[in-house]
Amino acid sequence: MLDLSDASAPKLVAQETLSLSETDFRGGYGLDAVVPSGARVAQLGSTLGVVQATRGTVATDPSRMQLEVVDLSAPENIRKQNAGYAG
Amino acid sequence: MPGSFGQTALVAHEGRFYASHFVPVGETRARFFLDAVDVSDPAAPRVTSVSAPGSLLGIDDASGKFLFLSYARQSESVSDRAECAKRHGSRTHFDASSEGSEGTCTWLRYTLHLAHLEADKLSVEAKLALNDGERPDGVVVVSTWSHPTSGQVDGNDQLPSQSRCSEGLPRENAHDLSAAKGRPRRRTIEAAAARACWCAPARTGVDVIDAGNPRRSSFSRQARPRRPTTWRSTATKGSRRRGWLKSPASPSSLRRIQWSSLGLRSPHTESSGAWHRAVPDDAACAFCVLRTSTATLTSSDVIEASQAQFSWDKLICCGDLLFPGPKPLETWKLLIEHQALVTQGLVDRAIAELEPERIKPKDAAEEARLSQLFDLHEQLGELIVMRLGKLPVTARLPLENGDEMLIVHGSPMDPTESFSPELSEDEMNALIGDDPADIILCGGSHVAFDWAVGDTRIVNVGSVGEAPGGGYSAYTVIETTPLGISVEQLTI
Repeated sequence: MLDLSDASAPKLVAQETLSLSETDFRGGYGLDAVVPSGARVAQLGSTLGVVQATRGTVATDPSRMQLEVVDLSAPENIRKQNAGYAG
Repeated sequence: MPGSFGQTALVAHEGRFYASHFVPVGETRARFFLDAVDVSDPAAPRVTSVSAPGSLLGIDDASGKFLFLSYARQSESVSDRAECAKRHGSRTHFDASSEGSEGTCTWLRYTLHLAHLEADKLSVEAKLALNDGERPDGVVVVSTWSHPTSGQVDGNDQLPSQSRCSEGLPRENAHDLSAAKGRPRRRTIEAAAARACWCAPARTGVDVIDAGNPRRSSFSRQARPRRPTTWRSTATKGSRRRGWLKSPASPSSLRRIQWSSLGLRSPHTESSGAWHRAVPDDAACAFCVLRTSTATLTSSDVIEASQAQFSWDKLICCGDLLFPGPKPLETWKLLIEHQALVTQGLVDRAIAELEPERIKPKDAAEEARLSQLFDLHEQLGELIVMRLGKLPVTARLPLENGDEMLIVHGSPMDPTESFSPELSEDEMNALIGDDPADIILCGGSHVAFDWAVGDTRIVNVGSVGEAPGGGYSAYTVIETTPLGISVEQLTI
């Protein structure tokens, strides 16, 4: 996180590694592909949502998505929470 | 849709993240859900799912309305693949009992649904069925439509930004398709609230949907000259594989593929058995094909032979450049000398990213392969290995006749997935995705062919060192003129 309150002297106030999914949510292949939408990282105020996704190959190995919620309200104490969402 | 990737990613709106997913119902049906994650307390996110009419396309911030897309499978009997594509577009599946016989054409019809969410229940307000063959891509929902200016749609297939979508819609070219069947009536788009739009990639133009009153405005890019739709192969087709494509590799499986591309088993894989796939050799190139290797012919042999027969101007290599040929450094120098246009293959990336020290060979073959890999690193040095890792995955070349050539090792949609003669036309189409290139030059499957799929020509340049069956080397010569191109595939 960068503090830009003084634009002439930006300060790095916190650093956190986010595990971004390599899946680009393009929706898969073939006739049955779902039209992709949304973003892998979305922001609501000081809260980030980060999705991790794995693609399945067949019906018995379905694609999965998990959402991690990152609370950036306290830069000195960034907290990550698995939302328990598995789409 | 059980075999496809059913989720959509995140849309943030009023304190919640939204996504959608489907649950397969039987073999051909699916039930969609809208998933809402309330993060008002980030430490305790709450997830709710409600039944939805389709996958989530976006949310209009101003009105709070949700835009969904539903999918309906259609089919009819047609005479051949070309007829199937002609009637219903490139995203079709054709199934026939035998090549050249009448068969079933299957395609999807899409319908937009505008809905509002109240008390965790979705209510659909309006629907709009898209025309046959239309499929929205790169959807973005914008709250206001602020006097779009003239401009050209970017053929980029990434999600468009709001500004790009705005810029991509020349108001003077907008047409109201809802007003009349047949020829669309010209209509100027005024600034208005709550319009949803999508910027479709190059082939389909830009559409605008008024989210308050779903109707369509659209314009198309200047039509590109179309070639006749044909389906032909210079290679032996063998039996066609039916069913849908496998999904692209996950990070872990990509590692396994990378290891196997080097002819080695992943250190994380305990299973025995055959390698994941045939060990590729290096270099699949066009104009002149390069593939040094286990074959007796080397890249310099092929270059000399092709130069003796043709006076070519540009050397193109579709990846897997140097391994496991006997003279990787010499091959690299040849590529530099001829200022070759190269793209990265699986093997190139594997050489740069994987650490051979981690491998314990399990048999003599792996030991030999590993030794060769160490030799390669020693010959090339860190700098060239690093450059292999930074080669572009794709390259584009404008041609004299106005066409665009895409050079890639595998396919536009997935560098690990190759075009091959076993693929059906819809699988080929899926690998093309929305890439606007007119000609795709590839080499991943090692099998030389020259096919036209829809309005895209796919040329696999073949392989010098790993041509099927071995004992010969294949390369491709392409002649470009203002009137078009000719492709000649040769063997030595």
